[in-house]
Amino acid sequence: MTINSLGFLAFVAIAAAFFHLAPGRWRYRVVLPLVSVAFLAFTASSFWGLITTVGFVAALVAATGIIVRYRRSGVMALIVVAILLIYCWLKGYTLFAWLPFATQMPATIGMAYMLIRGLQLIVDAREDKQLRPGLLDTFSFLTAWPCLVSGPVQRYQEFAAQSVGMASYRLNEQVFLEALGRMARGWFCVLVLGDIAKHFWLGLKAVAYEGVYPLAFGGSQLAFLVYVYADFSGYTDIVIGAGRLVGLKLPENFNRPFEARSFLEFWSRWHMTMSNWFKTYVYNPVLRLLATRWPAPAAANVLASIAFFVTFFLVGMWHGTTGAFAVVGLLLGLGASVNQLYRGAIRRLLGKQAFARLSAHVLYGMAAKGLTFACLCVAIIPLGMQEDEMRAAVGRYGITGLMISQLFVFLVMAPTALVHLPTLQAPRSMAGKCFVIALTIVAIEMYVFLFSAADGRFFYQQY
Amino acid sequence: MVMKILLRIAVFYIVINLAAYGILSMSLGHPVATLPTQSVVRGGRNDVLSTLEEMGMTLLLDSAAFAGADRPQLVVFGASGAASGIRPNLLQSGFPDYQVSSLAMAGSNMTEVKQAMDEFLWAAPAAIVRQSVAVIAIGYLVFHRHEVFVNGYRPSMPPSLFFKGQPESDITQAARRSPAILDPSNPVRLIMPKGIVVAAKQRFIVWRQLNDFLPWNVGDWLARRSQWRFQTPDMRADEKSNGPVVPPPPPFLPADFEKLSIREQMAYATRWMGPGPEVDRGEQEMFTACLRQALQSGMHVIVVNMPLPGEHRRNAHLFATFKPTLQRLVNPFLSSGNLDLIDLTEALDDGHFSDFGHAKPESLPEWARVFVEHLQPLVKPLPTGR
Repeated sequence: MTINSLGFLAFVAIAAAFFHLAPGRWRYRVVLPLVSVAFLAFTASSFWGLITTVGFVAALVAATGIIVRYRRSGVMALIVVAILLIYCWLKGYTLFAWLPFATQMPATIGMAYMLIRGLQLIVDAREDKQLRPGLLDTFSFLTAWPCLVSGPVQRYQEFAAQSVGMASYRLNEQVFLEALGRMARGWFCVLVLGDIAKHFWLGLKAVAYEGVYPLAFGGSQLAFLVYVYADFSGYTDIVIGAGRLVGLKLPENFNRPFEARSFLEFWSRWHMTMSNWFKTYVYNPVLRLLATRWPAPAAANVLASIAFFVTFFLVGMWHGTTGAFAVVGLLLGLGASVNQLYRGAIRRLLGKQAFARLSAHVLYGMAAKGLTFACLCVAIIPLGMQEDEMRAAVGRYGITGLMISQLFVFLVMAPTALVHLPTLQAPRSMAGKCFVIALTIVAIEMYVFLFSAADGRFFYQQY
Repeated sequence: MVMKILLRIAVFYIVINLAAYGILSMSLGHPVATLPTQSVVRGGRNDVLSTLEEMGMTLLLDSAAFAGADRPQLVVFGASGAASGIRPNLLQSGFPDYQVSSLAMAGSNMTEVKQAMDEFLWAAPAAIVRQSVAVIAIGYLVFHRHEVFVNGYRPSMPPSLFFKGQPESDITQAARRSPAILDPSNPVRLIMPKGIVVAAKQRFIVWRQLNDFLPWNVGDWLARRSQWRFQTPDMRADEKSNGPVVPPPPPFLPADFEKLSIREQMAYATRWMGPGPEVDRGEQEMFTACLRQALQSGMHVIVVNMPLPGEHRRNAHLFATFKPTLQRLVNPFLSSGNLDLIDLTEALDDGHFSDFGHAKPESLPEWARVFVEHLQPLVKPLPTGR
């Protein structure tokens, strides 16, 4: 069962029905964990994949139980290292291929997200003595079905607060329509917009590999970025809508990322919950550590750029298990740290007000946006390619070909800085909302009916 | 509350869907009237009893499938001999690098073979075409005069709207009866992007299937409207005049044609080929045009002179002259190095034929074996090593 299938729609309907028919006190204690287990079973690639995932959840639950009992930094460090090792082993990271069975582990679902939710709980539970999640709380939080596959990454504190209200949660007209509308919009993004972008991406990629066509290569990178955005933001809409039906208000994950005018701004608009997690649990501690060691204010900018490099390198590594993702991490880290160094230097050079005036200038905005996406597209190339494809592309295009392709991306994206798309307002009346939902469903149906989808799988599910 | 909202969405869904389908039907594709059940010739891609015109329609629609081709094709072109004797599913294992398919249509002459090839070349991606193989599986009977199989009967149209003047091929007739966008000669189709035409064809295929489950044919009204839109002024005048209803002509072949002896069937063949010493000149030109077009598109072409039973070979007055004619037609293209001619007229025993030129169902594996054996050495390995 995939998120964009009719099976998932049926699952959501049944889960919501169980939730609302069950007595209030059972909803959080019984219905949510049972439905989550059923969801795990339906989405697991195999029996052993399911067992592996459940085993990992059990390890995280046990680790949380230990940290609640022994709130010491040494214990936490040991637990975090152990959890990371288990994770890398189960995911089959190339670096850990020497471990027994490391290369034979079955495919799992949502482990990367369970990991960061679990680590958040472990770190917060050590620091906050008020935080004492029970075993069932931890299990429900880690496996909550709406955000199991690929987030959004919800903090335990928010989840716990919402779980209290589940017993008395009642759907009203506004919430129900909002949930349905959100899910319909999500499916439209995934099945129509995402699929169109994917066709463009695959077509341009095929052209780019037939010879040396830098424009096609640049176009394929942009199409890939649009595809991943449509796919992932659509997925997020679906699960946010599904969550609303069962009393979970999941956090937003995207805020118009294509309006970003710097590398760092992009990551504050794209996959926001993951970015916030890495900021809280990697960037801040690393920066604190560096600032303690080198407290000179003059070094602050350099230290921040180092912290950004470490953070984004880990972001890249978190996305996959092979060397290609280390390359993604290096490129993302490089982009983020150079962006931070530039930001600090230009502010120092011009002063805050002059820099603000410069940033507001049309040409500067166009150049910044073009450059942001040209760099970003390079950094995520390995996400959309196999390793052998990447080697072939590097060999064939070389630096010159790559520069031309990125110049193309720059030229395409720079003028978009002049365009500000308005936010579409949903109709206020019930009839209007129903009409929009029906229209969206018809549009999806017609597209799926008329054009064969390139591939129905949700792209981020592989992470 | 939940049911009220869901019900309202369902009502809107139905209304919007009907409106959208209506607009799309009028502009892109809609079903035409069900064709008569009278069977003319056995054959076609699905080995069903159908009219020539319906087979033409099927061919026009099925060609859309080639738009999504992602591997080289080995496509069979020809008439009923090829449609009944060369079954893609039986040949597939012999050509693992290729997708074997057939656009052979019963009753075809060379004009229709060329139309089928036009459809394939239009639909398939150019890169795939360059790696593909065209098997033009024909015999002298495929060179029959153009008007031989013209039905002259269009059940979906008022009789006064029958086309007048030159006879047209079954594919052209089918195209005329279909929405404008499916007609290869229609200006609307010519200016439309390929993706839209392919989508229209796919939609049309489903419409045709749905048609069987409807109590009345909604497409008939739509078909007439589109016919009206695109017909010539004199035909519109005909329609307005309310002239006498023209009765349909008698079927070209007798209902019990399959029960006749080979010699009796040959008498019909002789009649439709005409008394001349050589196959039709116009169809010869169409054959060379077909070869030229296939070779120019980069395809490897294999011309197969199809198997015939001994009695047919001995009694057909055009059979003896056809071999040198075929050789003469093919000779100018042999220098391209991308064309092969094989003669399989005597490759199968008489026991493998059901009549004067078609395969016996139980002999299909033997037919497939013979074709694989002769075609395999000629089909070049793919440069990519796939």
